[in-house]
Order: sequence, then C-alpha cells, then structure tokens
Amino acid sequence: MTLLDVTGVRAGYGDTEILHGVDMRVEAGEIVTIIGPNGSGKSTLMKSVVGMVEASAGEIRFDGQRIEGLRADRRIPLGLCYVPQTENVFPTLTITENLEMGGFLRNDRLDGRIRDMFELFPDLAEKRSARAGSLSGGQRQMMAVARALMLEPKLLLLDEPTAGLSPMLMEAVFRMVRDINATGVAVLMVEHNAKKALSISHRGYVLAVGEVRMESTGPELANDPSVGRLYLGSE
Amino acid sequence: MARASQVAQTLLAIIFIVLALSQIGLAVNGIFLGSILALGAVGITLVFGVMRFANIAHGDMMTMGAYVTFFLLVSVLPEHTGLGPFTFGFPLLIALPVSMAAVAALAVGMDILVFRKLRLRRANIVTIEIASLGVAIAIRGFVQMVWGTPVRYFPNEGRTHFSLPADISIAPNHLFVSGAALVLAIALHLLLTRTKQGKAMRATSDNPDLARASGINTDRVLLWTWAIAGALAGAAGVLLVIFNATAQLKPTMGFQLLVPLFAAVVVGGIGNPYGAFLGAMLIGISMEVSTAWALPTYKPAIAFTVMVVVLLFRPRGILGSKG
Repeated sequence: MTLLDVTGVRAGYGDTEILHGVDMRVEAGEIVTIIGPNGSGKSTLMKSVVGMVEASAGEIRFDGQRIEGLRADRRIPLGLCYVPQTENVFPTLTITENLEMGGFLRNDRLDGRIRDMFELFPDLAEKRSARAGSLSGGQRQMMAVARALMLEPKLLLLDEPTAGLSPMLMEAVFRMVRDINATGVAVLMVEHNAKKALSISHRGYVLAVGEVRMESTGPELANDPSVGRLYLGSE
Repeated sequence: MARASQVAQTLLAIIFIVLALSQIGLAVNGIFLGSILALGAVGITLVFGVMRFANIAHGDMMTMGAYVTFFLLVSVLPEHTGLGPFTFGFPLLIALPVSMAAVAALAVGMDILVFRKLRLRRANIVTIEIASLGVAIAIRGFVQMVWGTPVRYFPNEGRTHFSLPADISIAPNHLFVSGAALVLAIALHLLLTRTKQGKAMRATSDNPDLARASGINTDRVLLWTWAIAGALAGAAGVLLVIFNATAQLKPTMGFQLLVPLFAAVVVGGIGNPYGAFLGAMLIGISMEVSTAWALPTYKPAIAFTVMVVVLLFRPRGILGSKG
C-alpha cells in the first residue's frame, strides 16, 4: 500500500523555485532514503510533505488523502511526524514536557507512551526533568525523534538525523531507525551519510537540482559507483 | 576576563542591595511599584515570545483597564468605599476581574483586526511596531473621547498607613496591590507549567515551526497569549490607580510607564516571563530608591540606566538564554 505519494511537486521560497516537479513515494513499512548534493532540494521536499513549505504545483497524497493544501498542524494528525535537521527540540522545556508537546494531539493520558519512549531511549529517562537545551548532540537527536514518535505516526520523516554526530553515535542512530521501522513505522530520511543510510533502506532516490535523477533499491544505489561519482562528489 | 566580569557583577549586586537597604522605606515602595510593572512586563514578554515584536500598545491597554474599572465603579456598581483598611470599596473586587476580561477581549480584538492581517501579509517588524504604536494612540484617543482628558479619581476614602519599625510606613492599598500581583503571578506560573495550553505557549515561544510540526495550532496559541497578556495589563492598570495615594487616572498613565516596562522586559531577558518579573522588581526598586537623591522626574532615566548597566554585563538579560 502506498503511504506517501508525491507527484509533480514544485515548491520553493518566494520567487525561487527549488523543486521542479518531483515524483516519489513511500510504501507502508518501508525505509526510504533521499540523497543528493547540497542545494538539491532534499530538505525542501521534506518540508513540502509536512507543510512547512507550500507546494506551488503537483499533488501530495498521504494514506490516499490529498494533503498539499492542508496547514502543517492539520497534516500531523493524519500520521506523519517530522524531525527537522536543526532546532528540533524545545530548548527551555524539560524532556518530559518536550514529549508531552510531541503528544499534544493525543486526547488520552500520555504517561504510557512517555514510558515507552523512556524505555526506547534510556538516556532520556535519566534526564527527564532537565531542559532539552542542556542535552548533548546525540541525546538531543534522540529527544527529537522521541518527540516525533509520541503520536505513533505511520510515517516518520527524518532530516539528516546523523548530522554533526560522531561515528559511534551515527551507528546508534541508524540502529534506532531500523528498530523504529521494525515496529511498523515507515521512515523517510534525508542523509548525507549516503552509503550507510542506503544500505539499511528498502529504496532510495537521488535528487539533483530539484529533480529525481535516480531511483532504485537501497543496496543497489549504495553500490552504484556512478551515484557517488556524479552526485555525492566522492569516491 | 570572565572572573573580572563576575567580580563586577557581584559588586554591582552588593551596591544595589546596600543602596536599597539604606532607603528601606523607598525600597519597600519599589517592591509595590515593581509588582505592578511585573504584570505589564510579563504580558509584553509573553507576546514578544510568540510574536517576536514589542507591543507598544501595552501601556494603553493598562490605561483601558483602569478606565473600565472607573466606569464600572461610577456608573454601574453600587457606591461603596473604605473596605477594611483600604481606600476603595468592595465594588472594586468585582470591577477588577471584569476589567481584566475586557482588556483581554480588547487584546484579542487587536490581534484579529490588526496584527493577524499584518502576519498574513508577512509584514516586516518595523511595520508591525508602527502598527502597535497606532493601536496605542487609537486606544488613548478612545479613552480621551469617552472620559475626557482631565484627571479622574476612583471613589475613595482616606486611610491611615500601617507603620512598621525602621521608619517604614505602608499604605494598606499597597499590600492589596502586591498581594493581587502575587496571586496573578502564581496563577500564570501554574498555567505555564501545569496546563497543556500553557506548555504549548512556551513551546511556541521556543520554536514556532516545531510547535506546528507537533500539531499545535499556533494561531490559537497566539490568541491565548494575547488574552492572558491583556488580562494582566488590565489588572496592572487598575492596581496602578489604587497604588496612587489619591487614586487618580489620566489617559496617559499607561503610556508613561512604557519606558520602565520595556526596561524590565529587557533586563530580565526578552521572552522570559520569570525574567520579566525579576526585571520589574529590580527596575521598580531602583526607581523608587533613586528618589532619595534624584528628582522623581528622572525615574524613567534611572530605569534605562539600570537596563544599560545590566546589559553591559549580561547582554541577554538576567535570565536570557535564547539566541
């Protein structure tokens, strides 16, 4: 079943168009990774899916429903949660309060879900009354993901979850992505760490200058020498 | 360098405390003035937190609160003065919450009629500031049109002060002022830390984009913030009148407080309600204590001087942390 279906989306900031008609999809239960050079529109694509950037043309369907005209806070309840690359926690709120805000739309008591999150991220449990602004880089990333998981989304969008992390923490983040996916949550992520991210992904897209240039299974893209040469400027 | 700055800050704090203690009677008065400033400053800082602009109309919202109470006391409620040790009567206890509600409604109305339209057009900060100055002038114009420019008075009755040791004399009204301010401050604290809506206000102030990405309706949070800031401003206006020995009102009373209000907001750290409270106390005490040596007309200058000195050492204010 197709969870997210993006067709012909054009989007940008002001008069500058960054996405020139992008098609992509995420099936239920998949991990999909978008890679591409800086300025290719990866983050803009994520933002247009969650509604932080308006699509000027094209269609975005989530769970069969058209969402491109909805405000961001109306898209979230449908089951897609987003973790921005930076500024992804509420720094002056405590860890627990951050989780409560993640679960803002839930009408039941949040205690159970918060306990689940503390089980999944034991580091956070220890600091539950600390301000999120005081967390280290790795903990902050965990905090950001935990916040997004509070609503038990069907699709989790991660914008460069390993940016600025040490290799050991990167491993931990990728392990976490797999663990989350194993619970049935589909994941769409943008990653700089292309090889590693693609190797755990079901499928991948290569984005360049606002267009999809390649689309294939994760491992295949990871091992395609032309991907690295043409689009990542490495190897 | 960091050591030197710490030493200087400690020295300044000691000088402040010594000066305040040397004029303890004035300092106590300053706490009462500070509690009124706090109600205004907290509102300004809350609005700034979610909307990123300093509301120049805040002083005139306070004026409006005072005049709504004046209207109720003179034209609607039964005549009564001298409740217990206070100069005012029991009708004030009814008029106060009604005025708070009225100014809250005014603040929400301002947002819907003016500021929301500017937000939707993505107006820049200067346009929004000038618009809030326009709203300030419009509110004052309304007050002058309805109640005229001469000084007015709440119905009141003379009362003797409580005298304490060390030459401190306290007007009973002043105790009411600080008591009411304290109750409102505690209520606000509980709202911000214990309720879902209050936490959503803090979250929106921290990071509006992430708040929206969490499903928080930030437009509704804005209206809540205006309502709360308006209610506090309304209360501050009423308390400002009964703080005055002769309970007088004039159309410029709120606007004249803008300088100390903004100084309190900046000193405390813009956007931080606890900082605004602390800043208001610091500014209030400094202003009152300064009258031992300087003419009272210099009070706003003193407020600004304190602000400049604090910013020299703490550029983001006492409790400011946000970049």
